[in-house]
Formats: sequence, structure tokens, C-alpha cells
Amino acid sequence: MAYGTWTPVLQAVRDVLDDGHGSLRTIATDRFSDALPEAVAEEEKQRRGLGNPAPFRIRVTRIAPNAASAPINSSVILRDFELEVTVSRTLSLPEILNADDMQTLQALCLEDQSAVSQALGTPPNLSQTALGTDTNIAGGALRYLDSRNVVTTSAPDEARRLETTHRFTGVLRVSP
Amino acid sequence: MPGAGPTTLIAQRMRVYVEPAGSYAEDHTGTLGDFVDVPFVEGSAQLTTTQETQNPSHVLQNMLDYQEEVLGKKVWSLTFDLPFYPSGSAVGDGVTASSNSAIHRLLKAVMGGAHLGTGTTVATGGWASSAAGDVAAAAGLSAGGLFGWADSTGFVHTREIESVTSNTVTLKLGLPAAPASGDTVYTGATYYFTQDPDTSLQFIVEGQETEDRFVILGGQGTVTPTLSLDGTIQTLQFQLTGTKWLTANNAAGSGTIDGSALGKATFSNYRPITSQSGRFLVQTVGTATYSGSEVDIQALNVSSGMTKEMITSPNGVEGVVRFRMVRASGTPPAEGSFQTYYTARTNWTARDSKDDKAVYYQNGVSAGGIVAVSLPTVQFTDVQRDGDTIASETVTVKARLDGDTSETSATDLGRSPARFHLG
Repeated sequence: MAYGTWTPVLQAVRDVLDDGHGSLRTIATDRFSDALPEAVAEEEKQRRGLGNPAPFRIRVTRIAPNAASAPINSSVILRDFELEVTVSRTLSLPEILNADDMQTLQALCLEDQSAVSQALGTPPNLSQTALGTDTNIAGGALRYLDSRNVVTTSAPDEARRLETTHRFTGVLRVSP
Repeated sequence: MPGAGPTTLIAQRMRVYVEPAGSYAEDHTGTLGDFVDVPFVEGSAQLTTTQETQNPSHVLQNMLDYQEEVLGKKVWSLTFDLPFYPSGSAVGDGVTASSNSAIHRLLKAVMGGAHLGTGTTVATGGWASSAAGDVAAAAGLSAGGLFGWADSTGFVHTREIESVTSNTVTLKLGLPAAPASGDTVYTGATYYFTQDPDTSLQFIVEGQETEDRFVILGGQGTVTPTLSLDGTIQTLQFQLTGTKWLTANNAAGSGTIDGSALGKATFSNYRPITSQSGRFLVQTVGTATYSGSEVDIQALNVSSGMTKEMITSPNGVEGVVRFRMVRASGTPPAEGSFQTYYTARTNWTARDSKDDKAVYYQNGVSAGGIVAVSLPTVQFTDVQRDGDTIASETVTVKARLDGDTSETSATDLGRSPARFHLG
């Protein structure tokens, strides 16, 4: 019995976002950096989120049977999954106090959405990792769902972060 | 152990074998290696096995009595959904499309014809145009078959072939650019209608219970694609019917298929794709201009008007000797519709002018990961303004024989009013 292999899935997404991997609609290598683990202190997150590359993290948040999957006793079954890419950009004092600076930052966050959704949603960018390992993602791409952003709370007159979470869904081929 | 139920439909298995012409409904389960597993959608297989009973109606002496009915002929029906999956591996230079998959066997049996192409490369010097040129070896390419070429970004564009003369290939519709010398020419398997498909299908259908094992023989039917465009997995719905069926303990292969635990189904060349990336192309038949042929669509439907009719005879199996493909008068062999954003009266004009149009849909972008549906010569029979939130129009089309292939001798492949391609 073999289990679903998720390492190439996660690695390929990181490769596309962080290293410019892919053949179509690739992201510049200095736009994002995989540097937003949850355990990092808030101040460090704020420091990392100043300018480019903006830190991100990825999480697979849901796995479910795919409606078109063959029965469980088959050599290949299909699983739907949802994946989140969270990008953090720091709201420094100018953005907090000045509407024009806030507009610039918001526009940059919305541009992030375009970059992330195009790169992850265009096949065959996610067919393989940068090192050539097959991801088994059906169609070699994810499907964009939506994006939401929140401003993290902090003490008054202190920097905060604009965290934008981009959600995707995909289908994984699993060979049990 | 048997009878330990209830069991669910989560675990099932279905294997298929194509009965050759002249061997209608002959039990082949003694050679299980000739069967292949079918990756049907979990829970979608609906099997009914019927044996008619007939009342002899002889006179009785007590009004409370009833005649014992006589067992009559058998009939079965099976419907299931199958992901519309591609060849699974690139059919490039020197590679011939595989016949070792369930989808190949099912489509060929139901439609009648299959062409397994062999890839090649663009000949030295490249092509002067985007629609015609020489390849290194055209023997594995045919009019009506699939041609694929990757552009500079790696996106594989597929087209149907208009003609093959020596090593010169002419496409029905041009590519975005002229292929260069040495570029790989991909192809795949093409399934087309013949006028008289004469094979039939035999299945072993198994559930979790060790005695939930049935062998159904002598089947034929139809296939209808569900072409979602929302990123889900597209499917083909097969609706089949047949005559003879057996419980597995009465089959030739009973020693292997009956009474044992449900085995693992193994699929060959099974790499399904999702449906959010591809191309939808509409062009006037005979016009190879690529520019302007891409049409953005929100919905696409295709269906066939061809059906199968049992040919009865006392010499047959359960009174049936074979199936025959038929088409009701006034029903097109294939038809469909597509919904696009409203921009101009172009489609109305095409309808009014009775223009011959070619409709071609490709799902997927990578060699080995493409499926395509073609209605090579259609008439726009209806155009309706519609849409819920986006101003749209739905165009209804009806297909005829392909009017845009050129062959020395016309073939069913070259003339088929509809084709499926697995690239």
C-alpha cells in the first residue's frame, strides 16, 4: 500500500512562487519568499514583510474524495484538495497614516493575487517540481477560488501586516 | 465471507473485454488476461440484470391459484461514467498511441473506429506556413487524425489533419506559428464513427460481497460526453444494453472471479485531467486561418444521434445475433451547442448563410494530457441570446460528414461527423 505523496505538491507550489519555476506566467524570483512560518515572532514577520520579496506560506487545508474518482480498491484514486497561499506585506507607519501610501500597498497586494493565481493556475507549471519530480496534480495546475485579506492587530501607531490569503483547489492522483 | 453484508458501493470493480465480430456474447472469462479494468466513477455503475418470465396461462381449477411462470430471455443494462482521460504519455516521435486502456476499448467498440497515430518530427527546413508542411515520417498520420505541436512556451496546440500526401501534412486550421525543423509532431488516438460497428462488449462487474459477481455479455450502446469547463473532471457516460448475463459461478472463469475477495483494479495509462485549460476553435470549413478562430465559451454540449438496435434471430444468443448502428430519420449523427459572450451578430449571419463551420474543443495543454472533441462540419441551426449575468448567446449546431478532409479513397476516419481524440 502506498500513500498519497504530498511533498512534490507542496514543493512545486513553493518552486513556482519562490523560484520562478514554470513555463508560462512565471513569477519573478524577487517577488516572494517562503519565509512566513507561523511560529516566527510578530516583529520578525513585520520586518520580513517590508518590500519585496514578500514572505508567504502555503497550507493544504482540506482533502476530500473527488467526484470522478474510481472506487477505493483501484490502482489510482483521485482526491480534491484545497490549498492556501498566504502573503504578508507590512503596513508601516506611512501606510497606516496616509491614504495614498495605503492605496499603493493595497494595489500591490491585489497584484500579488494576479501573480499567484496566474502562476499556480496555468498548466503545466505544477506538473513537476523544479527538480523534475512528478506532482501527480491532475492537469498540472490548480484552480483559483478566491482571496481575502486581513489587517493584523497591533499596538496603536505600530506597524501591522496586511495578510492576503489566496485559496485554490486541485485534484491529486493517488496510487494506493 | 459471503453474506456478511450490507456492503457499500465504495468498493467495486469492473473489467471489460471486446467481443470480436462473429463472437457475439461468447463467454471469454476463461482468459481473464484479455480483460482490462475500467476506471469508472465511484458509485456511478448501475447494473440491472433481468430475466423475463412468461405466463403460459393454462386453465386453472381454483380461482385462488396462479400459473407458474416460465423463465424467459435475459437482458441487461449498464450505465456508468468514465473520466474523459487522455493517452497518459506523449505520443511523440516514433511513438504509437496505445491501445491498452479501457477508454480505448470502450470508445472503439461503441463508435466503431480507432486510429492509433504515430508521432514524428518536422522535416528539415521547417514549415513555410502554419497550416502545411513536411514531416519526417507521415506514415502514422491520417486525414481526420490528430496533429499536435508545442509552441515556444510549451503549450501543445492540436489540430485535425486535412490531408497527408507522402510526407506533406495539411492541417484544417493553422497553428499560431510555423513549426520549425526538428520540432516534435505529437499525435494520439482518434475515435470515429463507422457505419456498422460489429464488435460487442463483455464485462465482469464485481462488488464487495464474494458472491456479488456478474458477467454480462453481448453489450452495445452509446457514449455521451459531459464537457464541464469549470475545472472539474469531464466524463463520458456510457449507456449499454445486452442480452446474456451470468452469475460468476456459472461463468467460464468462475474459478478465478467467483467466491474470492474483491481484487485491486489496475489501470493502464490513466492520468485524468481537469477542465479549466484548453482551446475552443470555430472556423469556416475550408479556411485555415487561425486568427479569429478562438471563441470564449461558458458552456459546451455534444451528443450523438446514433443508436444501436438488436438484430433478433432464433439463431442468436437470447434471441439476438448482434447489434446494428442506426440513426432515426431527421436526427443528425451528432449535434451540440456552445454558449459564448455576446459580441456581434456574426453567428446569426452564419446561421442565415448556412455556412459550413468546424467546431473543435481541446482540453489540456501538454502532450499526453490532452483530449479533444471535434464536429468537423456543422451548420448553425439556432442562435439564441441568453445569459444570467453576462450577455451571452447559445449556438446550436448539427453535424454532417466531414467536408474538409482530402483522401485518395474516402475513409470512415476521414468522413466521420464527430471524433474524439486522446493525445
